[in-house]
Parts: sequence; structure tokens; C-alpha cells
Amino acid sequence: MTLDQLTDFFSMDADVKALTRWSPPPPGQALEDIRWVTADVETTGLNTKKDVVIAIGAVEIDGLSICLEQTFELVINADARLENDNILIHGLSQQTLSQGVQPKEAIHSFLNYAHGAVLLAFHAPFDKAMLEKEVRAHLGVSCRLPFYDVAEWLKALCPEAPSHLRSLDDWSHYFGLYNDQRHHAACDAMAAAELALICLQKACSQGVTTWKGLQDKVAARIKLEKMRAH
Amino acid sequence: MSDSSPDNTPNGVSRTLLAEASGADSAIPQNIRSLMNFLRTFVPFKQMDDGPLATLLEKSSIEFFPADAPIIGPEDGAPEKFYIVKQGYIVGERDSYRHANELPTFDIGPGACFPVAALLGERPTRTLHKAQEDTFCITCSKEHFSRMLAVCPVFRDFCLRGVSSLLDQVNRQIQAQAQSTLGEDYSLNTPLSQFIERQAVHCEPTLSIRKAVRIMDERGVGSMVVTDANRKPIGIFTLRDLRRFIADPGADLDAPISSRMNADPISLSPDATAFEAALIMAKHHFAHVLIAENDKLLGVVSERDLFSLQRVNLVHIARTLANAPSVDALAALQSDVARLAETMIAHGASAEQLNHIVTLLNDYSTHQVIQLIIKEQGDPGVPFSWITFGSAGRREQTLLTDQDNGIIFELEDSRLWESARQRLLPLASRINAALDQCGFTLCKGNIMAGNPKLCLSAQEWEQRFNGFIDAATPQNVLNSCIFFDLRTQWGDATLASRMFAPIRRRIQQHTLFQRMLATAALEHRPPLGLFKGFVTRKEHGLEGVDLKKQGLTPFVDAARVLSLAHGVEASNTIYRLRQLSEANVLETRDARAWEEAFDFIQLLRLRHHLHCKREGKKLTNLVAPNALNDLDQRILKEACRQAQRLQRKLAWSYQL
Repeated sequence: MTLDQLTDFFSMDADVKALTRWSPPPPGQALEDIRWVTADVETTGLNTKKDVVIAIGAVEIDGLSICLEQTFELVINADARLENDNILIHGLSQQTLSQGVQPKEAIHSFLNYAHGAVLLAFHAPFDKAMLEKEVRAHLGVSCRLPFYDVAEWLKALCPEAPSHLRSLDDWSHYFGLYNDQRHHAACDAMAAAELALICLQKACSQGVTTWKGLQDKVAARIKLEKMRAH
Repeated sequence: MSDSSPDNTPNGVSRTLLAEASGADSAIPQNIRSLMNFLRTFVPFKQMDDGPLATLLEKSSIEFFPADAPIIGPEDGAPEKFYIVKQGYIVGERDSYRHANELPTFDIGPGACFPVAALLGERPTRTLHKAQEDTFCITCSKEHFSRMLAVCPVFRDFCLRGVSSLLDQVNRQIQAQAQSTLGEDYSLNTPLSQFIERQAVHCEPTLSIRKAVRIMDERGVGSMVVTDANRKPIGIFTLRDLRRFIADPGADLDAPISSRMNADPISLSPDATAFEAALIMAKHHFAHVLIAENDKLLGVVSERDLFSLQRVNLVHIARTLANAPSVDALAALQSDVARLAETMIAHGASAEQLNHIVTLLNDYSTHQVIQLIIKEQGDPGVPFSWITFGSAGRREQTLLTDQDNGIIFELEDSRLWESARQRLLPLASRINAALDQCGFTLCKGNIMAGNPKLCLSAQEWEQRFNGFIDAATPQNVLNSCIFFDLRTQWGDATLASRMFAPIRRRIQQHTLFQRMLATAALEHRPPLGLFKGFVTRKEHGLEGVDLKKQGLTPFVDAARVLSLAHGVEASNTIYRLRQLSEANVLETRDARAWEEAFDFIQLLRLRHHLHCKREGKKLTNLVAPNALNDLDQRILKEACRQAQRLQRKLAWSYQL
């Protein structure tokens, strides 16, 4: 498919609504039968209102294994100017960004890729907010992406881990994950996917085998934390 | 368009767009590139081009196995997937009914692949592969694995040849390393056919010396081969012969060349190697070896051809050692031996070849020491031979060699033995001291000819060996076993071989003694831990793997027991293994694997010694595993695993 054809395709908004909506799996669904997509966004900053997404990386987990053939990475041609700091963090220059795809195509393409899967991210609320904002801004529909937080999973399923672990780096380091290109959207998505994979295996070994079981386990952990906080 | 449409896979979109965005390199997604960088630190991926490596990864997955999770085992049938360890460790376990404390058959870490043999053979694995700790693996389908075999020769070679291909890598690495310092580019394994550059200069036996020398001069060669009518070589005349000829006042230039040639020259076939030619030159002090096939002369290879650019040359060293005028001169020459060893490594010599040459040169030194001391002290008037035990007895000498020797003398009348001994002992002690001066350090256990207990008549030696056998306990067998690797280093060899023949026969019948030898052979365990690393030792403030005791000794000891038990007469470990396989005691494949493993450890040890020598450090057998590169570490581990297998075979044979 050529770029022209793609552009034609993306100009059709017919199925946009359908593309932005999907429901989580049925409660009894076995974890190993669920298709997961871990995503990571790089942005111009941390303000979900003002800042914009400049790169999206995503990795698919299917049958409890990461499919390298189904990884997703896109740099977005955001008009927003980059702060110097961010250039350092992302390693994305203004030139690379200006050569990226248009935001609308990017978002569409991501939704196309991720549609139907349970979305995962490390500190998911941020990625969820950023992506939902981009959907609204460029596709003109509001949506709720079914994102779940790998950071919460880790706390629930690895109670033996020290409590000071916070960031993706902390957890990657704790599990000794190899990653030579951190802060690249696709690589961070991969790190999150590997952590998710560890969680899913741990869940199975703890007798948690269904979607609902996993949800309950995580919810129980959050509740416990809240009670302790009070 | 639905999201399952094949020609609009989101991945395809991103790939295309990215390729447009920032050049062709970006066509490889970041995660794949990152994994490529990771695999690039391991063999065989290091040697694979970007294309095939990316292809391998693109159709792969990443799977996670928590500690203790079984991954694939004999019960799973022929494997469906190929695995590369990304992070963590995998152990192989044999059937579970075995002892719980048995070591895993292998453990493999990042970069290692499995189960290659089972995939290739389309059969179940022999061991249960289990995650030793939390482990990530890169996996792909059996079909993709086969496709990779077809498209990537490097990968195929690695999978088909396994450890052997790794060993090739090491050898290439060593050679490259050594060559970068020596600047040479051919290997000692080069067939002689490659040295045949032009027609060998030859003539008929009746030609006059005058004419022959003129031809040599015109053609600018150092030798003239004398051939019969069928071009069969019958002699050789060299510049050295010319020198001697000129020095002779009665020399007649018109005499036929046959009167002054060296008759029956040694020739090798064109597929013999440069090493064999070098060995013959060193043994016989010739500078020329003929290349002939079916008795027809093809060419001449000279020492200069073999070592043209080399600073140290083998024949020269052998000659000077054999003719050294004093012990001091001999001692001074020893550093040449070390340099020669280094050059040989550069030329791709195997440890076996190196051991051979070093032993040969050490024999020359020993001969000359003995002759010099006899000249100094006078002939003791008792016919005796100098025998040697242990590594020298096995022709496995390296640069770090201590003395293990004795004297065997021939005297029928037992009443004269004591007085003969008293005459030989001062001589022996002087020889021991002179050898020490030459770098063959005194034996700490006093296994030396100067020790009255080791300066014995043939009959006394026989009694002594019988004593070893009769009084054997597992502990003293450990001390006496090196005596069973004996060889005559100087003097009449039949003395020792006649003495030892009945001993050999006795051991072959004596299963109880064999069993004790076998128990002793299991004493030195290969340095493999239960988990991941090596079991290291501490010595003089250094910590590491003892390449001799932990690495070589298991092979040496096991080969000795099996050889004595099955009447194999060789004393060299590699020869023993070969002859044991010819005698169907060992399977050929096993024997090959053990030879390779032994050779590798020996080579590693030699390299380590050379390294110590260069740094001006004391030579030790201790190597810190972390100081080895990844490849050496992996092979050392594999070699140790082979030692473990050999010990297991021994334990099984003697039900230990």
C-alpha cells in the first residue's frame, strides 16, 4: 500500500467511532487467551492538557508471548516545538519529528493496531489521558481506551519486591531486564511488556488464571494500600 | 478495512512510514534493532549479517519462564520451537529418578540456543530444560528455524557443528591475535601442496658435483634432489653438504653427486601438513623435506619456506639445544622455546602439536644435560636409562614443567645394585640440579632420579610397581598413578618397556586395582558448580579455575585407567583416547569430543602461560573465569562438562 492510498484511507472517517470503542474481555476469559497491547507515548511534556504526543510505541502480547512481528512504532509530526530538555530525553530531533507522520494518521494507525486488545502501560493514566486527548483532537470523537496499569499489577503480584520501586527503570532494574534504548517509545513499551509478562506468569502460578481473577487481585491490593494510608 | 486485513497490518504501516521518515536503516524497528545489538555479543549471531539476524528476530517472540518452570523435555515429543536465552539461566536435568544431588547436565545463560540437536534430529530432547531463575527467551517456530538454516550459512554451521564450530572460532581468534603481533598469514595446517611453487630442481645420480652446484647457483636454490630415471627421489644434496665438501681437502668436484648426497631422503605426500614437515625437520635436523607422490618427486619444502618470516626457527632451536656446549647455554636457550610456542600458536598449532614440539625440545635439552653431566662427572660404568613420568611421560609438556624422573639400570647380580646406585646417585643429583637451572623445576614430591628410591635396577622397579599394586589404597593410588605414565627419555628404551610389560599384563587382570585407580580418577572434579558459574580455587592470593587439576587431570586420569584396563599402551592422553575408540572401549564420537575438550583446555593453559611469561609473572595454572572472553568461557564450560561425562562413564564402568 502506498502512502497516497494510506492518506486516502485515513481521510475516511466512517469507521472512526467503531475504532475508538471496544470493551474489556469477559470476566471468565483465560489470561492466556487474551490479546494485550502495551503502549508507551513520548510527549512534549508532562502536562496532559497542553503537551502533545510525539511518538507512540506498542508491543503485542498474545498467548502469553511477545510477538516481535507485531510491534508498533511511529514518530509524529507534531507542530509543537520541542523543549531542549526533551530532545535529550527522547533523542528525537526537530528534523526527525518534522519527517514523522501527521497526528491524525498516527492516531488512526495506532487504534487500528490496538483495537480489541486490553491496553497496558506503565503508569497507564498518563498514556491513557494523552492518547484519549489526541483522539479527541484529531479524530473528533471522545473515547475511553481500556487501559490498565502495569505498575499496579507489579505491586499486586510481586509483594516480595521492595516498596521503594516506583519507575519503569526501577522495576526493569529489579528484574534485571536488558534495555539499551530506554526512553524510546517502542523500547519502553517493550520493557512494560516484559514486566507484564512476568506479572501474567506470576498470576498463573498464584492460581489467578482469569481476567476477573486478575482484576480482583489488583483491586484488593489497591484497597489494602488505601486502608493502610488512612 | 478491518483490522485483520493482511495487507494493512499496522506494523506494515509503521515500517513503511518510518522508512520514509529517516532512511533505510529505520526499516528495522527499534525493538528488533535493540535485540540485534544484544545478540551481537554472542556467537554465532556476532558473525551474522544484519539481514538474516533481523529476519530471525522478526518472526520471533519473547517468552517468560519463572524460576523452576519446565520449558521442554523428553515427554514433549519433537520440539516445536527454537529458543535463545535472552536473560536468565536454563539447566538441563536427566531423568528425575537419579540422585537428587546430581549436577545438572548443563546450564546455559544469555545468548545460548536450545534444543538444537533435538530440532535438527526431529526427536524429543534427552534432558528436561528448566528455568533455573526467572528467564526470558527469544523463541521462534521450528519452521522459521529451518528457514534460517537454509538462508544463513553462519547459523547453519553453528547449529550443525555446535561446539566444534565454537572451537574453530576460538582458534581463528587466537591465530588472529597472535598473527597481529607476528605478521604472518599461513597456518601450520596448510597442506604441503601449497608450497610447491615451481618444479623441484633435480638431477641424475651420475651428474658431477661441479655441474650440480652450477645448476643450483643458476636456479638460486639451496638443494639439489637426486632422482632415478623414474623421477623417484634417491638423495638430496644441500648447501650444508657443499660446505662440508669444500672443507674436505680430498674433495673431487668431478665425482658423481651420488657419492656425496644424503641417500634415502625423507619425503611427505602433498596432503601432509606444514606441521608434519616442521616436525620431521626438527626431529632429524634437516632443513629440507621432499614432497613426493607415488614415488615421484613433486617439490621440496625448506625450513625457510615454512618459517620464512619467523624470528625463531624450530630447526635452529632443536639443533642448538642438541649441541649446546654447557648447561648455562642450555638454560639461556629456553626463552627461545617459549617464543617458538607463541609463534606456533600464531600458526594455528593445536595444543597436541604444541605439546609434541615442546616435549621434543625438552627431550633435546634433557639429552644434552645428561650428556654434558656425564662428560663432567665421568661415565658411571653402569648401563642406565633416564625415565620420566607424569606429563613428560605422556608427552604433554608445557612451559610450566617440573621434574618427574628416575633412573633404571640393568645389572643381573642383585649384590651389585647398591654400589651401582651409589655411583649413579651423584650423577643423577647433578642432572636434576642442571635441569632445574634450565627451568625444569625440582619436584616438590621428590620424584627425581637423585632420590635413592627412584634410582633402581629393572628388577627393583618391577618390585616397586608390584608394591604399588599390592598395597594400593585409594589414597596412595592417587600418589602413585603418575608412575604409570612412564617413558624413556634418554638411553635404551627396551629396559623400561621390558620391565613394564608384566606389570601391564598384571593390571589388565586386576580389576580391584583398576577400580581403585578409577576411584582416584574421580578425585579431581571438573570445576562446574550447581549453578551458573565455575567452582574456583584460591592459591597464593589468586582465585580462579585450576586448568590443570580441575581441567586436564579428569581427562588424564580417566584415560589412564581405561588404557591400563584395556591394554592400550599409549601414554599420551589424546593417543589413549584415540586407541580406546579404535579398541571399541569408547564410542568414536565421545572420544572425539573428549579429545577436543582436552585440547581446548590445554591450549587455554598454554596461552595463559605465555601471557604470564610476557607480563613477567610467575606461571600458574589458575585462570579467573571472568578474565576470559565470553567465547572462551562458554567453551571452557562445555569442555568441563565433557570431563564430567567422561567421569560419569568411568564411574558407571566401575560401578562407583
